[in-house]
Amino acid sequence: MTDEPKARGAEGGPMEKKSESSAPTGGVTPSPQSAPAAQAAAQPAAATPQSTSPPGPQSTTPPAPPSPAELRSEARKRRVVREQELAQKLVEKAGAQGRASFRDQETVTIDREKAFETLRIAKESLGFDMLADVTAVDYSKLEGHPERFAVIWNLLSLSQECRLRVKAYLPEDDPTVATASSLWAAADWGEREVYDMFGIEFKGHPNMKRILMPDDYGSFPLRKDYPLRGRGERDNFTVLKRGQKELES
Amino acid sequence: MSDPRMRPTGLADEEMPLAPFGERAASIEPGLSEQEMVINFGPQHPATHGTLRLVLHLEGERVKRVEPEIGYLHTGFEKFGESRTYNQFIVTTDRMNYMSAMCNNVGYAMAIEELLGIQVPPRGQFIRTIMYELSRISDHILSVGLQAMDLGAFSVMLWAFIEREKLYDVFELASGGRLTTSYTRIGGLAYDAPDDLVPRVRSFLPRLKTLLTEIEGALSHNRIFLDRTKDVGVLTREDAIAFGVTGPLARASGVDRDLRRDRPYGIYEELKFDVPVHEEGDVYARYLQRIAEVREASRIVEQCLDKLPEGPVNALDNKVVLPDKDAVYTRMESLIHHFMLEMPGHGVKTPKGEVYHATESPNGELGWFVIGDGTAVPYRLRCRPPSFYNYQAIQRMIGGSLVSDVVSCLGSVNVIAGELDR
Amino acid sequence: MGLENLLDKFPPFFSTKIAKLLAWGRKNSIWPMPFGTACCAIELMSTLSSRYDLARFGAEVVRFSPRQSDLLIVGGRVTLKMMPVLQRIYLQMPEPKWVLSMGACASCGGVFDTYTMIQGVDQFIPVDVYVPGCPPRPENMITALQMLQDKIDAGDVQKEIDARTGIPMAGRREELMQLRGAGK
Repeated sequence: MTDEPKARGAEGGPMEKKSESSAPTGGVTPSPQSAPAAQAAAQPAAATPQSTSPPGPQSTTPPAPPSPAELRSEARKRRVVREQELAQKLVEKAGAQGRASFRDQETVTIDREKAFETLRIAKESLGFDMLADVTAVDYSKLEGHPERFAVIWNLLSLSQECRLRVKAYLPEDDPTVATASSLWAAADWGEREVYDMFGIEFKGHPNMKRILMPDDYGSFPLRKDYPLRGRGERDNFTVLKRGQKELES
Repeated sequence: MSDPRMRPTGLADEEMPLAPFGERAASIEPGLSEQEMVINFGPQHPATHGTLRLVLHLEGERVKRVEPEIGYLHTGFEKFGESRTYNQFIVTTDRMNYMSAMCNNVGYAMAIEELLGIQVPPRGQFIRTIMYELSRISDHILSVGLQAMDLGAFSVMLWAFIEREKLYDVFELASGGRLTTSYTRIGGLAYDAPDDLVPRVRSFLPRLKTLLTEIEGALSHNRIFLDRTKDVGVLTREDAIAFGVTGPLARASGVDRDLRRDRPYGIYEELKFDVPVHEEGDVYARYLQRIAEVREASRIVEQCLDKLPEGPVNALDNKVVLPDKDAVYTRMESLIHHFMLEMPGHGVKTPKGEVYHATESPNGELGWFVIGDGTAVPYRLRCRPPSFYNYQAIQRMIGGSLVSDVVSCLGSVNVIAGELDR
Repeated sequence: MGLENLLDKFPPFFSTKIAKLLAWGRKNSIWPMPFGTACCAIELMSTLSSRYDLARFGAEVVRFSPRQSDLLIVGGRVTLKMMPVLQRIYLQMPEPKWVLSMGACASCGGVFDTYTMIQGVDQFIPVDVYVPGCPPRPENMITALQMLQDKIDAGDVQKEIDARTGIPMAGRREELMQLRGAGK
């Protein structure tokens, strides 16, 4: 049984640099100086970043110890800074295209040829030991994105409590990328679902089959050119009548 | 297959009739050795909780290989989300993890509020937390009840259902719905808590303690239950991390992570609670884990009830939250705000950006990846379902066990098909 | 049933009484087969549990085998992949059988008009009772069961089965013996 709060990866003292949204380099617009969203809402003291002033030459009383709310707010800021540092390290080590930050969340954009290498570096050198999610987006109806498809890996580091999103754009005529299932077993089904929904193939995947739709389904539903109601696949069944004994087919 | 004792009808392999509809029915495939069988478990089966299918390759009674097949409840929620406004989608979130619908409501609303960058007032957050933890209690006791029913202890399921009916009364008092509540709205809640909500919840908590005592008395030291669950379906810590398993399954395997403590959201930073962790990773550990988590959840609910502040429940943001009806009827600005939020083409407009927000749902990390494109309808709405990644690990849990252990394991994983398939 | 073969030999008021007896027996012992897929399955479980006990109405024995049940309760969303399964289960049930379409999703597709959702199982399976609701309250389910009981009471189930299946029973003994003799 462990008690809360658990201060992980405590670094240095409580007075550290404020977290700020860094300049965007990808196709994501950041918000200007977003306040910590939905965190520690009730106490107004938690919103103040710095509570103790540096003691002047005249004062002899030591600064008051920070309240628990401030400690948690500081812990949150340290985490945001850690995530930014890890994202920057990944950018440098893997030669990524860019890095973006929105609402204190980091996204690193990479080339698809370097995807496996980048993920391997993230896992082995930077300690992202869990793949929280792998998904994809069809950007065809949104401007500001270089290619039609993008695969997004949501990474999580348990020991440092950090998240990172890695994004790779894929061209429309050749939506393939290397599989991450040799790094994380979680990628197995996640990539099958991405294939099922978008048609993005993962090279080297042990079982690249559909997972949610029937195996002989002809289309990729989550693409933007596929209608919500489908193309009549849901109406193609035999009608059973009362008293029927067998399926005639 | 030459031994006539192995062929009940006395037919040779080629003469065996195919099952009525052809493909992949229960059959004894030619080419297998005498003891090997491929059987189909599901998708309609009392022990698969929901529409799950497992194709088991058996050698005698032992499972050599298992191929899970999912997708029998895939409704296309993510595509559906791309054509509904943010508030309209809340109705859909109920239907994902239907055992704890409020958890989905709250998680989704928090993700959109993070995208918008708005804060819900303290009273709204406290009520959300109370409902979230009550839903967690509801999910866990049902999961334990169904697990026990699969193993033969039918009474435990009925006891669990009686207490859940009390919880349904509470949910109905607050939101109007027993199961599919749709209680949150972007920026707060649909309705403020009625006056008798707090006394009702307070009167429920002692009953919950009695229920837990009864369940533990029936199961925890029960020889039959122990034999069927100890050392069955073991998931090691490394496997849990590799498969992305979160929630009680991971904590029962030794992964000490709880989003409420490690990445606090809402008001969890102000509450005192412990995070139980077990090391063994078997079905019994998961059962103990869920019981312990119910206890912690009831502690959280008590603290929230004590600290519940007065005030508004909805954020004071006219672009997001509907104004009060009397203001709409008497003031021009409120009428315009109401118009701008309700008419088609208008609604809660989010900035352009991508956000991932996760909450600790009863099954694990329920994440929402939302891409807003400046309109009232999300561009991409991805739900990271905990059941999906938890269920993938079943291949590791079942390998080499008996068929009856498969049932035991499935009960402990608590796969909710609505969330698994979306 | 053997008794029904003799019905044409009895005076009319007596055979109606026997038909009523059989209907009474059938309606008070409907054994449900829950085909629960989604949220409605949980409400069905609540209906079968202690507070809204469906066993009071005779629907106590929930058999998960289609061969042993009378009423197929389709509770929840039915998708593309699940429809063939539903059809198989329906065909495996012996006569007399009824289908209760529980909830909005099974009756008409519900909230979800998407590419995988069957917009009402009654397109492909004959349905006897529809229960609206999302999910229906247990009281709705009890009312639905009572409506089905009334339906069984009102109709002559045996005649319905004859009409459906084409297997002659009551009143057509000669035909039956001929068919049997012909090795059907």
